Amino acid sequence: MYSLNYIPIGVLMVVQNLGPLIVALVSYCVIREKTSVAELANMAICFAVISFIVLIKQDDDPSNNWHLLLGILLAFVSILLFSGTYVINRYLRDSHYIQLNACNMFFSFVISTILYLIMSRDYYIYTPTVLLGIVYGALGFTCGLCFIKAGQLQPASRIAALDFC
Amino acid sequence: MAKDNIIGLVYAIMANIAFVANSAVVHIAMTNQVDYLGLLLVGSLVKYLIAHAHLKYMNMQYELSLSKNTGLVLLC
Repeated sequence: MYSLNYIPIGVLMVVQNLGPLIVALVSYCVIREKTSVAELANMAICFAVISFIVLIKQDDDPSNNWHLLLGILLAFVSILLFSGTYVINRYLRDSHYIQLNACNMFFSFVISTILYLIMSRDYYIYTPTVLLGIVYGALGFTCGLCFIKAGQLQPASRIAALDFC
Repeated sequence: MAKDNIIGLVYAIMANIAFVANSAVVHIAMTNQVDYLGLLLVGSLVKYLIAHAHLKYMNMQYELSLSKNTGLVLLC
């Protein structure tokens, strides 16, 4: 999201939609998981269509080329890290998904607590925040559990293609 | 194997539905000026508590936390 300070949202969307292709590439390099030609063709077609839809409406040019470059670089780092989670999830497929999910949630809690302590201005949590937080947490747990289980049963690139497109 | 593939796809679709619903909750929070960091903290606490209860209910331990995979789980 930080890259949005430097590039238009259309460019960010195009870079983000490279996700499935990056996952396919990283999963081949790291865990030697092959992606079929049909799947790669599907990803390429989806990417081309999204790029066409986004860029055909693009009329605001960023004035500074360095900003454009920095924004694209940030977007690439972000999508590379995000793609890494698919591959790591697939790499850890022999572990039990409930244990993986519990460890994942534990670290997520530690990181968000540190973020809260560093960045929060007033250390007070209001009732609407708590109520929405409970719903957010329950949905996040379901999402994480299903994501891990899906990653253990299906190739990483296929799950990424389903998520992005 | 084919059954596993179908189950995997069903899980992936369920994950997507939950993710979209989660995004809707974040949108509601943002439009009502709810503190995002507070939401993240409470949400992650709830996630951890449910995951912990789930683990205990299934009679499992945090074996991964001491294994070589800790760093990878952290990245996950």
